Amino acid sequence: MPEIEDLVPTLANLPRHEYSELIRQVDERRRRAVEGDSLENWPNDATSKDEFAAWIACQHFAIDKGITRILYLPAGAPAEEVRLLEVNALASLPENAPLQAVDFMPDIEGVHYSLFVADATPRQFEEILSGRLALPAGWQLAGYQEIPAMKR
Amino acid sequence: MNEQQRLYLVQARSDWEVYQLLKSGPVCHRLHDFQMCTEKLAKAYFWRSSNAGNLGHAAFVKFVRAIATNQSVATNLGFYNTRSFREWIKDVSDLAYELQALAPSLAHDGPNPEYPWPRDKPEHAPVEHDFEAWHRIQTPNGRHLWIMIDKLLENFDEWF
Repeated sequence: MPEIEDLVPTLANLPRHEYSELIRQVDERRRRAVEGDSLENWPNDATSKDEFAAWIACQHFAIDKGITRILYLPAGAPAEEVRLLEVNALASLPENAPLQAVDFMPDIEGVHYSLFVADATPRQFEEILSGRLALPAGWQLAGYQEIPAMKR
Repeated sequence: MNEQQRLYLVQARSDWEVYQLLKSGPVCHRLHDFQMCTEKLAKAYFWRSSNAGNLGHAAFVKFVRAIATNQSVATNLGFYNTRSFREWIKDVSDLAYELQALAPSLAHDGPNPEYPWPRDKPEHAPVEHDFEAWHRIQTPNGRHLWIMIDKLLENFDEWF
C-alpha cells in the first residue's frame, strides 16, 4: 500500500478530467465495499437508537464523498435524540465560527428519533479533540463512538 | 410550513422560473440562478428549525445529505429501497459540491458565475467562461439533480 505522501505528487499532476474520473472510480469502489445487508432496508420502530445512529452514519458515508469521520455522541443527549459529529474534508465552513448543530429531521416510518448533525473541517476536528474548539451547546465528546467508514 | 420556510421557498421557486426562462441566455446567468435556487431550497428545508440562520452558501450539500435518509422523499421520487435511492442521491451529492463551489465566496479566486476573477487582477469574465459544472449538469447525473429540484419545489409543502 503506497503512502499518501507518495501518491499526492502524482495525483496533483493529473489532468483535471482524469483526476475527476479517478475520484469517481475510487468512490464507486469504496461505496460497493461498504454496502452491507443492514443498509438495504429502512430502519423501523424496532431499531434501537444506537442502530439508528450507525445506519444514518453509514448512509452519510456512502453518499457524501467529503465525509471522512463520523462520531456518534450519545453522552448527555435526550433519550430520543441522535447527535453526530461529521468531519468533512470538503466542507466550506468558516474555521473560526462556532460549530452548528443542524436538525436533519429524518422522516422514516416508525422511527421517532430526532437527528442533529454538526459538520467540522478536519482542522476544526483536531481543535475539538484538543479542547480548543467547543462542540455545539450541550454536546459532549466523552464516550463518543466512532462509526467506521469501511466497516458498516 | 412556517413563514421563514415560505419566504425561502417562494424565492427558490422564483429563481427556478428565471433559470428556465433563460434557456437561450449565457450559461453564467443560468448557473447563477441554478445555484441560488438550490441554496434557497435547502434553507427553506432547514428553517423548520430555528437555528438555520448561519447555514451560508454550503446549505445545499447538507440538504442533499439530509434528504438521503428521508423515506417520504425517496418514496415520492419512486424509490422503494435505500440502495437504489442512495445510488441516485450519491450522484446528486457529487454535483451539489460543484454547484456550491460556484458561490463567489466559496470559489475564492476561481470560476464563479457572477464576478470576473481573480479579484485583485481580473483575467476572466463569467460570461466568457466555459463552466465545467454546466457540462456536468447536462449529464444523466445532472438530469437526476434537475428532476429532484423540480419535484421538491413543486411538492415541498406536501413532502416536508
